[in-house]
Amino acid sequence: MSRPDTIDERFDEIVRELRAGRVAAPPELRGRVREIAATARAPRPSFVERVAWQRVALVATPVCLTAFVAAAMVQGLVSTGGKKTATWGAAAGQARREAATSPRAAPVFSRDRPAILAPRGSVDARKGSPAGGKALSATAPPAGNRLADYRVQMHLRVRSTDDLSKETVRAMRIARRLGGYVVSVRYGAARRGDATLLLRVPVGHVQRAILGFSGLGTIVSQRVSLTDLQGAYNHQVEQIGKLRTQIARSQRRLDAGGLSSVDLARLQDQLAYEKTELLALVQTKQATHQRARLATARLTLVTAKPKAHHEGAPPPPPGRVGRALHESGRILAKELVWGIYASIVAAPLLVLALVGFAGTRTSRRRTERRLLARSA
Amino acid sequence: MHAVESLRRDRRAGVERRSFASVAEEHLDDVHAYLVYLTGDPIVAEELTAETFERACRRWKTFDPRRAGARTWLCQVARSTALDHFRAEERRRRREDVYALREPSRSGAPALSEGFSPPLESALRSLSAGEREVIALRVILELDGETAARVLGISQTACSTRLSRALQKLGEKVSSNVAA
Repeated sequence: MSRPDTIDERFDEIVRELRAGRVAAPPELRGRVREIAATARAPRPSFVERVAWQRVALVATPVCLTAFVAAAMVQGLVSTGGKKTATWGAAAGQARREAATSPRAAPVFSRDRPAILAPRGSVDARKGSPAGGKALSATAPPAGNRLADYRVQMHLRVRSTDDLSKETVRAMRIARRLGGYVVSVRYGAARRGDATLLLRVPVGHVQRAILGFSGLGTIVSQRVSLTDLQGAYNHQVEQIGKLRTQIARSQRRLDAGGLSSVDLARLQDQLAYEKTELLALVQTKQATHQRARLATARLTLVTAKPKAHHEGAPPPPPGRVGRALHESGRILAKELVWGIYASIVAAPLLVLALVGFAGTRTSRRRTERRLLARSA
Repeated sequence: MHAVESLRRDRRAGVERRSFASVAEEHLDDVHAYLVYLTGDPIVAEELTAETFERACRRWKTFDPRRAGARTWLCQVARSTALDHFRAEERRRRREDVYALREPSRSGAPALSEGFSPPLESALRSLSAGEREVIALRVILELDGETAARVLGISQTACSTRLSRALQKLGEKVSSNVAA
């Protein structure tokens, strides 16, 4: 430690002279220092001295990282335990969304309908087997004597554009044969053919219609919804009855005569208004009846796309380990985000502290230089 | 495994604490010489040496042998004590300047060392405290460049430059004093 570095040879003489006149401490001072030293107690090594911080850091860093990962894993396992579909959150949601948009996906039943029917035939449909009778058994029967709005949506896959053309025509024939009609048809046969048909079929024949449509191709998805219209219809009938009674009463007053010209004019206006109202209500009632009499079937026919079948299929639900890993990754990402956030918040404070420290140090050194620049 | 344990034991022994009394006894002369050069006044240096050892005694538990040698640490404590003294002196002078004339510089101050020739003594007194300090550390205490730089709180290059300039200046002053 005290190895003297070489000093320029030019100063050898002066250095020698300086070293020759070495200053020694006077005996009184030595005595004072001995007294001071006698009061010193053997210090217990401080905690800082006892702890080798490099070793602590070497151990603590992997321990902390392991703890973070373990916590994430435990959280992932706990939160995914036993609830496959419910906790698979984002992935399941994504799969559902894909299923809803993909023609090859599993059937999804609309939730915005008052009556939702989940046919067991959906499994067959997902597998892509020609549905036949199973599809029929999956549909809900018409609501007996009650009026109902019956809607069917079917997504079918056909083999080629030739088949697409044939099956589109067949679907229209089925509807007409059962006493229904075609509301609209959109047909396209470019690279990948598709056709969309909107058909109305009498409710009494709807099951036969579905059976017929099922034979057009492979069912990809199927939705059936049933909205009860009986309540609305009954209300309309009741309103019509009341209005008719009111019109009859007004008519009787008009026929009786003896009214002033003002009252007569007012009664005539009222009667005209009530008749208009009655007409509108009757039309509404007829429309409701018509809506309940005919089921609406929306058919979508698409041609098959062999490669895309596997690419677009929803991923199989992962196992528990997979879900736990996914959840752990999510939690670790969250921890990382929080770490970055904390760094961003702490960085300005750290910079301020460093600037303060550097400023204090510079100021202290400047003062020292000034003090030491003076000669004795 | 035994070799590793043995190495660890040796390392521990190498940085083992000695008693403060033995350290004080060993380095008293060095600390005193350093302060004599720094202050340029043996009487003040004596007081500051005692104060330095008082401070060092209080802070002895903070001394870490792994970071620096005892002599280096004592020199740092001595430097800090001397700087505090200089600050206090400066405050006192400023305060007194308001009410009275500045006290004349002491002409009869005791010599830095009995062994110095008058031209060298005079030349040393004409140097600044900072210049005498670096001479004390590098020439008198024979600290190496790195340790001296650590005590001064500057880089090794700056320390070397400061020493060269101080010795150059000292040599010139001695020559001019001899000629006079």
